[in-house]
Amino acid sequence: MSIVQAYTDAYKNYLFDESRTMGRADYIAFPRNEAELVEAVRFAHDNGVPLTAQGSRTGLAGGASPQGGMILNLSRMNRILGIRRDAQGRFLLRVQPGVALTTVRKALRDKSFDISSWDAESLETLKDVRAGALFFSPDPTEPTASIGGMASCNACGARSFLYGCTRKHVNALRAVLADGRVTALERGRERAQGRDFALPCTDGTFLRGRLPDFDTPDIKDAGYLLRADMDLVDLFMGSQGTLGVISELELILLPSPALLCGVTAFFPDDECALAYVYAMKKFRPKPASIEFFDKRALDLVEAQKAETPAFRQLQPLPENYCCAVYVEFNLDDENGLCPVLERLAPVISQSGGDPDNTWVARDELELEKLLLFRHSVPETIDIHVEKNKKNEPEITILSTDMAVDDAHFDELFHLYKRDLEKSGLPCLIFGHIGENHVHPNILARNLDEYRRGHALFEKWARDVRDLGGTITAEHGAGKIKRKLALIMYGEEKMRALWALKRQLDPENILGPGNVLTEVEA
Amino acid sequence: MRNGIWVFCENAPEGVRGVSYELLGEAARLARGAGLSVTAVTLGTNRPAAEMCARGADEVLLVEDEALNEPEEMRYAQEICALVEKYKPSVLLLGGTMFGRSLAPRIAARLQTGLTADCTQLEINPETGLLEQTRPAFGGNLFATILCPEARPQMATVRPKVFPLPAADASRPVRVAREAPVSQASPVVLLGRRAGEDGVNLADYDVLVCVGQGIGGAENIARAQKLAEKLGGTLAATRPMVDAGVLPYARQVGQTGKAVAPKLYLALGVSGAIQHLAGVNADVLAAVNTDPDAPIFEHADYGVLQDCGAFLDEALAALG
Amino acid sequence: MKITVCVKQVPAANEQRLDPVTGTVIREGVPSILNPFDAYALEEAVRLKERLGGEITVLSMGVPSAQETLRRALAVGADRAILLSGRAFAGADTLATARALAKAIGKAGGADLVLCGRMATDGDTAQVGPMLAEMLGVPHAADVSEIEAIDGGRVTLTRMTDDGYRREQLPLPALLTVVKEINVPRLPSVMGVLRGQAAEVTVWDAPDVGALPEETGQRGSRTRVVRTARPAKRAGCRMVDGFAALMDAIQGAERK
Repeated sequence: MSIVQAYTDAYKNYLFDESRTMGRADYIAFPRNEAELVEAVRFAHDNGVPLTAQGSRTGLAGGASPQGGMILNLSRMNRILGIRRDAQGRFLLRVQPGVALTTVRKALRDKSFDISSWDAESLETLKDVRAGALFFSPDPTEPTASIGGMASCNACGARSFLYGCTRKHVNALRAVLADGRVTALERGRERAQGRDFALPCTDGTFLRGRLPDFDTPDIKDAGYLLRADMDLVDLFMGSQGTLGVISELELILLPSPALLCGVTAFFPDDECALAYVYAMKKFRPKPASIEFFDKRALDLVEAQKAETPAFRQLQPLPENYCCAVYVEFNLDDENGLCPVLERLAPVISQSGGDPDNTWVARDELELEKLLLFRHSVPETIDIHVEKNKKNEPEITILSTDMAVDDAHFDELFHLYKRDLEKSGLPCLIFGHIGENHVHPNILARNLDEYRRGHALFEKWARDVRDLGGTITAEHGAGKIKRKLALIMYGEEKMRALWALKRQLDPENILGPGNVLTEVEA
Repeated sequence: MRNGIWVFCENAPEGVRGVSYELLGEAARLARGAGLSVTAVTLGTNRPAAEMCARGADEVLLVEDEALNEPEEMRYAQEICALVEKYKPSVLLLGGTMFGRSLAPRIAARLQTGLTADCTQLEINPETGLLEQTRPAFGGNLFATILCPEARPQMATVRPKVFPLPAADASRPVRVAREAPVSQASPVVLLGRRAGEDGVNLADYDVLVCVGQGIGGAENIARAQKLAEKLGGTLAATRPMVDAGVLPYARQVGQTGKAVAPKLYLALGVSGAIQHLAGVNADVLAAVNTDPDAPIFEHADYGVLQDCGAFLDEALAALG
Repeated sequence: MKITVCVKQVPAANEQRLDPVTGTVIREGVPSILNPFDAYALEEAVRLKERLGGEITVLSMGVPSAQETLRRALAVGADRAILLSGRAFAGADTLATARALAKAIGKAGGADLVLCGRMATDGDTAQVGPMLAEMLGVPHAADVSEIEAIDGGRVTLTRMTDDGYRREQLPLPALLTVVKEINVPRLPSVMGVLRGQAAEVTVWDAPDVGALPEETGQRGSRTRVVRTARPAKRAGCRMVDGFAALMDAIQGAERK
């Protein structure tokens, strides 16, 4: 029997992701290996059926939500295939795209792998691996995210301030192309020649084409990466399943830090917090992450404690606060905390904070408390969105992940504040401020607020474009930010992206509705 | 013959805690093999001595005093220690209720004897005559067997539902010996009582759906509750879930939570640590887990290798 | 008011190994943490001090490295730390532990209030607190979920019981064991960590607290672990595919 089945209502949970973008489908397939994945893609190709690849469906932009055609669910391609060391001595872990981040983390932490299908090299290499000695650094908030999904939107998360996004930690990949051919790429091996590229396929053929003549922003960006002479691995990172379906990845593992610790500092106003953030960006050792929470975010979580028992485990907020900045350090020295704190204390004071009004987490257990605090913000937002949705079903989450470079962040931050103030909309700001990337959220209570929120986002998309930034730093444009993507790229660049897409996917069957918007020729 | 096995019969709103009767049954079993007598020790007025004898006591040692109706550790310790010093029992067992676990250490300290908490198995070694007290220990990977070789009495607490409730045998003779109270008034003043918030008593349900850390999100916990209700049961939780504040303590099953004996115990995303399983004595134990190596499968009757979310999808769809 | 908080350093991991000879826990190579339940006792002590003033002593018995755990307590507001450490204390059961702690409290000048976590996560016995109260000759309340007031030499509190909650009043000195519902423990501040690191931890051996060799450690214990065993497995787990198959299997077995 074919790997492809007709869609029935039993699969309705596969129609949406965390963004709650509802889709529709005619077929569904659950391949377990690359051969079955190829079979499913060939079926789609031969029958002109569009397909949408999905992993754990934890995305926030609707990228995994199918728009008719086939759901290509990769959650059963969830094995860790092997490990090797390269010439530089780096450990590289080969995985299927559907494996969850948490599975990879747990396997590395406990050194517990299903090695039944591993080759001799992998088994030999594994002997040199100590439990907990290696880690995969990308850290999106959702640990059940699939590795393939993280690659497809170049997920980042908090610790990317130190380590960079998923893109930097994928050494090689295999991808199934629209016609069912498979390309195998390794970082440093296949590069574009200027703007011309040739993807080597496993059947000995090449898929040749030309990249658009523009570069995408040189900042953390969850969209396409376009450069002259670019590494072709990057073509499939951030392209959200529109150019091919990743069937295998080789992840770069880093030595685990000896000590994880974090400091949350409270500040009397946003300007003090900003001063602290700018100082922390230059602080050494370089923080792994710098996160910001505005007063509204703190207040919202505090208020939610009454209804959500899990939040009652959160430490009560200090009495005198306006906003908070969380800084995490990943240190190589187990005893390195006190020297860092000794130098941190004056920085906090000089920024207008109080080193006595801080929370320090000195190990993973304590860090969990600060992370619970961090995660409680988006969770509280979710609770409010769900509540507001009951009054008005059209309401979805209204959150942005726009980013600009260092030179323009101050301007963007104050622009957000001004516009939100003027709009009078219920809102809050939190997020990865270290990378010039915070999440303004609007908690629309009715349709009018919802629409005004959308309008504000479109204004910001134009502002961010003019500041040379991106409309999506980590979630991907998916389906819900397509309009913003069009604002950022403009019609001409959008046409150029379509031209790229058609070279790889002439029938437009891959990831329909993701990122790209039809524009008139 | 008052130097055999003693069971402290704890006061409860319903008369005597069920666990006290369970211990009388177990004591009777141990006593038969070792040729010892079983003595129920109880304090206060209106104590159901006949019932204690029907459940296995050869004799009831009663300190009848209204002042002792309210359980209080200092007074109770004084009374029980006075009786122990007078009759020198070999073994003293207490129910591992919250009160029992608070009282037993005071008695042990006063008598300078050994005490083993939360035993799951008790045997009297036929050669040495010593009480072998077995409990889950050391992170739950192992059962440890503990002796109290020199000091007397050999003291242990046992959680409710670890041993079966013995049938009442009304034909057994009722023997009651009254002792005069010796304790001084306690310095502790009782100001009031109130019921707990989550009044659920897991022991009341034939079906328990237990959620562990592998359940996958708050949404699945709500759906597990729905499944439990559709199966005529209620929701239970592992200790990590309770420690994380996800569910209240009243729903915690295991060595440090409630011990349960339902007809069906459905474990969703539960790894199966011994401390947890020490509290489960189910007719049928079924486990759903994505990890084929999860220890729970070594103890389950039925296993489903599946993501809890997908399992709940199917289960709730099937049950409408 | 003089408050003493008894704390224990426990292995962070759930999985522990046993010494096959002594039957005691092997602590090497396992990261150690402050017993999570003790953190609630410590937090409550700090809150009482903030409200009523006084001095907090944290007291522990353990290996020399347990000093780190005590520094953590100093970082959140304890004033003084005492560690009972030495071979004489090794292998203690709950009775010998409580005896050593009682002697240390006496040597340290006594306490108006002794606070303990409801139990330690490595032993799960919940015995040391009440035993210590008996040895100190003071009343105790276990599983305290709220300390309402301390005045006039009495503490008013709420404790969890088998049937709900009880409000009680105890004269001081008294010992309380606390449950996690009582508070949310704070993390230390930057300055707190630095203060804790710089502070002195007093280390006492058995003779320092006037304990005789037969009173402490294994010799002072009344219980012995004589053997350990892996739990028996069930007859065998039958793997089935999904909810419907599970229900069929259970109902099929019932009919038989």
